[in-house]
Amino acid sequence: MAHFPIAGLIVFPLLGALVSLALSKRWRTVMSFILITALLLNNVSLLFQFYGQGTFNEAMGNWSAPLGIELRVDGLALIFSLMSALVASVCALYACVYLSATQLKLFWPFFWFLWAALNSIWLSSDLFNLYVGLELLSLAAVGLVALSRDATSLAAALRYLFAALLGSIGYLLGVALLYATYGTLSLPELSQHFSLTLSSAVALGFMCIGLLMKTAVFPMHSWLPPAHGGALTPVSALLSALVIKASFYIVLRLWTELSLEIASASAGMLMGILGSAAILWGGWMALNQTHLKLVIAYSTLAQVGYFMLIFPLLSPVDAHASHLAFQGGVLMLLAHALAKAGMFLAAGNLLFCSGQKDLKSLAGLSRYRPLNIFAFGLAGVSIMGLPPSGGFNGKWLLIQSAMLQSQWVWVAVIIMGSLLSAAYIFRVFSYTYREVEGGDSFKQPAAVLEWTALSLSVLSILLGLASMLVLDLLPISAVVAQ
Amino acid sequence: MNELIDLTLICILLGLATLSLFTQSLFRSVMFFILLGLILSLVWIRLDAPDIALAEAAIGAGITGILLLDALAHLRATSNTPPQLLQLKQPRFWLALLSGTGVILALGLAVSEPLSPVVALDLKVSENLAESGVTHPITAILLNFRSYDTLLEVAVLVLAALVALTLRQSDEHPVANEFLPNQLLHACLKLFFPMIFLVSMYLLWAGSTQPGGAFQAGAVLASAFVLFYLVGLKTQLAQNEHYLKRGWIFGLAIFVLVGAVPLLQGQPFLTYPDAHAGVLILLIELGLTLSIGWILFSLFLLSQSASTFQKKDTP
Repeated sequence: MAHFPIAGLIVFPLLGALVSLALSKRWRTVMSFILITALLLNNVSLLFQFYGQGTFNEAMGNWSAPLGIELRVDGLALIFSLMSALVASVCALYACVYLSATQLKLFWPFFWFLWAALNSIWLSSDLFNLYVGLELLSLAAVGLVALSRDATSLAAALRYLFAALLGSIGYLLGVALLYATYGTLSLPELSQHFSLTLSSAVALGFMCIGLLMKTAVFPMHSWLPPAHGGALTPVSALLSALVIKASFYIVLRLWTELSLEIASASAGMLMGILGSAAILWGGWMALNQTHLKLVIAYSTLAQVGYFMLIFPLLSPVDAHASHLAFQGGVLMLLAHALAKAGMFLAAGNLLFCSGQKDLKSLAGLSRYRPLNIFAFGLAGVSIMGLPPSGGFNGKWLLIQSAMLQSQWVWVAVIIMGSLLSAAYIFRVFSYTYREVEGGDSFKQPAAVLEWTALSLSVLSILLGLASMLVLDLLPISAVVAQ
Repeated sequence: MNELIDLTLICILLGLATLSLFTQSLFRSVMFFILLGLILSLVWIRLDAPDIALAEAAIGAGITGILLLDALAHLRATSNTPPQLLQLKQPRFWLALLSGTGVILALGLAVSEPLSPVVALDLKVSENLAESGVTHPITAILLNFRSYDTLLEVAVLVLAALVALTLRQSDEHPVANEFLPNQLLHACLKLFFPMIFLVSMYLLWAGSTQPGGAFQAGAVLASAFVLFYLVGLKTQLAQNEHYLKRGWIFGLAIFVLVGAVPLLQGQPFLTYPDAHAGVLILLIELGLTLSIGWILFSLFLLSQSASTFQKKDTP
């Protein structure tokens, strides 16, 4: 049964989608949770398989690349697959309680297609297959945003759709050019023949712009805040924690597989500048929002900037510093996924209590729902990058790498970004500590909602204590030029 | 002679594209867009890609055209703002122009280099064609060598229908449908429907040896469904959301099941046993044809809310 765990990552979510479209209400929920359990077990068995035999490939339909499509299980893919399994299952539990029956009916199939798309992207080592995965992901995400049926969210969903389509077209154009140049779509094979000619530079340029648009990197970000801020709470958590990571993951894959840090130092520099702008702009905008969910959405924008700092720090000369930057970046991605999902869920609970979106309506909540504020705060610790959180370790590794290479600008940017994030998170807190005149009338959220939010926030802190456990999965040679 | 044909096609293509972008009335630009699809399918034939030509004619010009016309009628019925014309003062117009020119220039630069693919994938395809169960290379790639891509693509189609359903449920202006109770149309349809169905099944069957296949057959089938709907033959199937959804997932379910059975026998996902590859591919394609036809029809069906206004708006 050596083929099972890896195929299960695709088959189970697709089965989930089929089941949730075909069955009646009760069976839909029961089967969904059975399949979620199966997927979690499946991830664990894949982890053990990876410990047993290391990195391995799986040829779909027994046709090996370049004729067929090969999936690849390596440390990076495994980390992302585990991350999405954790976040998605907690969000599913939250959604099951939080959403109404009619919303759930559409939520489940979208959720399952989203998960299938994520897994297909983590595992794929084929450029066109990645495109198909991206399409599946974007459509599922757009559908999820459209679930909240007010006019502004529909407009946000449509805007998101256009941005995502434009990004896909850019990526596809690049893939077509690369295929015309090298005659293969398989990423490992491409990296053997790759050399930075004019046409491949243009191709990679198109691909990167398209993918960065889908990740909402600074100048192409304006679709993100309304979409993430306006969606239903569990959807916001899924989108911010997982969906934007997928397109970034492909950029990271391309960059490391094709050893672009050797080919072009200025490209890395450009990515770093975009990232820095995102950190500062996102932080500043988050500080000026009046709606709680928009604060968190802009905070995502800033956090994406930190991921971008990986690229200027990957250097062909200093293997150790590059490795530190890579590890730091991956840790930031993970910590952000856990913390941001936890933060959105906690924020959703707070908004549920007050019934309004405004920050001012939070007044008095810190006494009424201390557990929830605690969950929000723990997630905030990781976002700000205070020890002992995953966010702290990630930033620490990035700073260390920058100092080793004496690239002081990035150190300054990271520190300024952390100050900004501390400012916008404490600003939210200060609203919750205000007292209201004349009694408050809050609704009480179900206990499950509070505990799910707390569990993700706690995980983001635990990640700081168990960072090495995760980072050991990454091979030392992941970055060092092949 | 051939160069002359190519040059004419390119000129027509560019002309139609410009017209459909810059013409004043939206109805005309949709018409030009449909024409563009037809000419594009001719271009695909000139490029030796009859499969894509078929798909382009059926989906690009056919179903997309229907959907665009439908959206247009809907727009006219519900919005009272006239379509906005291009305004030269707007910075986003110049941004679009600038980035468009940039993309064209970059593409021009990229293809100016001589292309000499290192890996000859077409040779590998013809080497392995005998084991794929079909003799048409495109079908072999789509449903055997790269069947995993196709599986995910089918999931994308189901998802598209699902998004349409979601948007439909948040539509605040459901308008009662009015059909075209035309005796002539009824009579024609009686004559045409068996033929359309036959063409669809032929495309499906032919797919294993020559251009054709599930996507083209599905698109043809969808057009038959749309015609049926327009003359007012309501099917019970289309009214019930359960049947609607089960129709969408039928093809995907067959595909996943056929792909997952080898897992139990210790083979990788989507491996077909050599002896039955041809039959299994045909089975999957049959399921896909029905589902694709149903999904494309559903996209049309779900956007139906303003057909009452269609007649008086037609110029």
